[in-house]
Amino acid sequence: MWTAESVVAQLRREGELWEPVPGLVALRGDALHLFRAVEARLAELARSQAFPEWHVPSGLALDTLARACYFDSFPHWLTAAAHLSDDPAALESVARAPDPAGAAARALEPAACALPPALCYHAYARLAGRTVDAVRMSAQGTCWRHEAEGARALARGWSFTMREMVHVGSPEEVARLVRDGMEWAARLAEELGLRHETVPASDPFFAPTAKGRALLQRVKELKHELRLDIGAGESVAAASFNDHESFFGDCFDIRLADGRSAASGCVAFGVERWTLAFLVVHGPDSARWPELGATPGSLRAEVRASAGTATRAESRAPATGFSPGTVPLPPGASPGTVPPPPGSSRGTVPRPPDAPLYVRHAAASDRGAWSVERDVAWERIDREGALGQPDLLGRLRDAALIESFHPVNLARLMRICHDDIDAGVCFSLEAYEGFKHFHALRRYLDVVGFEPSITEEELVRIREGSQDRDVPPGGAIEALVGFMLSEHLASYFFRRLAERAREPVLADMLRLIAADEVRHAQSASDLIAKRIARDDSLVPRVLDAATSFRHYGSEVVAEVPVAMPGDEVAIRTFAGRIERLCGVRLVDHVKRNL
Amino acid sequence: MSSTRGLHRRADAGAFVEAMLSWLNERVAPPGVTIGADTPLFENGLIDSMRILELIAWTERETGLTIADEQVRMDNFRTPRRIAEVFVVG
Repeated sequence: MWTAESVVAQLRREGELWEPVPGLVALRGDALHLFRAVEARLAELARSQAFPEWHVPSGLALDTLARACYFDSFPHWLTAAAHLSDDPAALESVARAPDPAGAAARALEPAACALPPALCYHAYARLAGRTVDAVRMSAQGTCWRHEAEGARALARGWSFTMREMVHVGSPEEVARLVRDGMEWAARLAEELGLRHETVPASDPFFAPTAKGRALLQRVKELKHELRLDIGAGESVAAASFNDHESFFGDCFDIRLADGRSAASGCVAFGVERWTLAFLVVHGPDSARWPELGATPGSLRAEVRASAGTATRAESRAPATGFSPGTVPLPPGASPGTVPPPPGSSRGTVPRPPDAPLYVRHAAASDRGAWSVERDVAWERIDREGALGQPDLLGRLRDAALIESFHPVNLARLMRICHDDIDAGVCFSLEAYEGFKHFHALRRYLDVVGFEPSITEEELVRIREGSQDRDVPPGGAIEALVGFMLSEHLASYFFRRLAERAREPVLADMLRLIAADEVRHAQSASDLIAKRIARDDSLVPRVLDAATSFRHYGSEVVAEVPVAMPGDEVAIRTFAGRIERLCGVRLVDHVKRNL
Repeated sequence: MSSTRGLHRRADAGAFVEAMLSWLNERVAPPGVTIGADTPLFENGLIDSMRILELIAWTERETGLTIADEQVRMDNFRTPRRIAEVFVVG
């Protein structure tokens, strides 16, 4: 049986782990490849759950921490960055000192910024003073916490690697993030065969005034941790799930559209601790790591992908590549406390670094998959409640008609993009998911008895009217931009409708549809990016296509339904999609063409 | 992006609204509809997501400002008069 201590000792012996400074761990070899594979899994998790990636710097303004009440919460952890004086005489004296390292340490200017104790502070600082709808971000970075108990390699570092996912928005959204985060982490632990437990927790607040907050955290169960077994009866907190309520919204004056302070929450993973727990359960010899085939969590495959060269694992065991296959979990793997819900995704498909784009999209679609039969509580629909919002149901009907139009619209896109294999896959997935949306929406309207009901004749009539229109030859890029922006607005349409729907079954279903639409917009964006990467002369055409954009739903219904007129977030992100692809501010482009 | 109000002074607000109305009525208003200084631009669907970008672009061109993302709030673009209040009179 391995323990944290024996694993670390073994890695030290093999030269795969060392500490250049106490509390700061360096890795190489298989241990590093495992570490990178864990990083990749967590990054993929964030991506698949629609957390946009941010790159955050390794320094944080001290004022930001003050604003977050950090100094009465966790001052004992603070580590800061300081530099030497610019004064030539001071520099000269350090340069000439018999002990220049000691002289430099003594001659530092007061700290200029903090080294981040957590990454989510960057998000609150960035959103300070703003009105937000729902903002998500994810980042990975090095965090610093100087803990009095001292450091233990991989278990408690002065610095460590954190992957964080943050949501700033309504209290309900934050509560959902915390719930979902617990499930994601438990599922990951299961996939990796790690023994885990999710428990209520509280932060080690420092000041007596802040200690009340710890009590509150416990009483209200605002903080949970997933603890992983590291042998010898010990466990470490390897992920935390935090509902801050409106604490940071108040501190940073972040508001919701209705004027309330925004709520925030974060899910944070400690990469070193996941790596350690894996090594304790499976041992430091990569040849003995579990072979889970192409089932989710094929760490070995991801290790190979991250290594890029043959590892010990490869040399001893044949690579099963990416073909299906299962091997039982290793002894000691726990049956787990949080089973994945029926129909939910079960992880990521391992893929080589040069896998085609469609592999990622197929995996994302698989993970986001939901079932009209199993995941919608048809029997619990509150019919009267639903009919109490006839206007909303009317818009839902229009949306169902637009979703029914995919066989026409996507067929056109498939024809014009026939030379792009990725596009064919993405459109096929979208055709199926679009059908599912139509099916679910129509069924809902029928169950609640909304009139007029949708008929086959009506659907055929709509299609016949558009039969002769096709994308003009050479017009693929414009068609893709139109599709991306239509799907983008569709995601906001369904999301806003979900917020307004008083009937809970409908609200849940609309959220599922909205998440699909985000993926569709993203796949179109990736297809456009691929074309731009090949030929950047397409950029002006993308900009023009965006400014002359018409929702494809306008072919279906007289007026494309809008859930929230003047949805500023939808509009800003609409422009943002084009700006990310083109590197040009869309408003500037519009200005030139006024 | 930053936004500093100021190229237009208070006296310019009237001219700004007038110019905006003439542009809106020529380019945006559906037949038979006349947009006035206090016409709500979003409530009745006069402005959709593309039009708001044009409205921002037009306002930037007229004022010489760059409107920051956080100022793209519907409250700031509710009516032509409101746009002038926010971005011209300041």
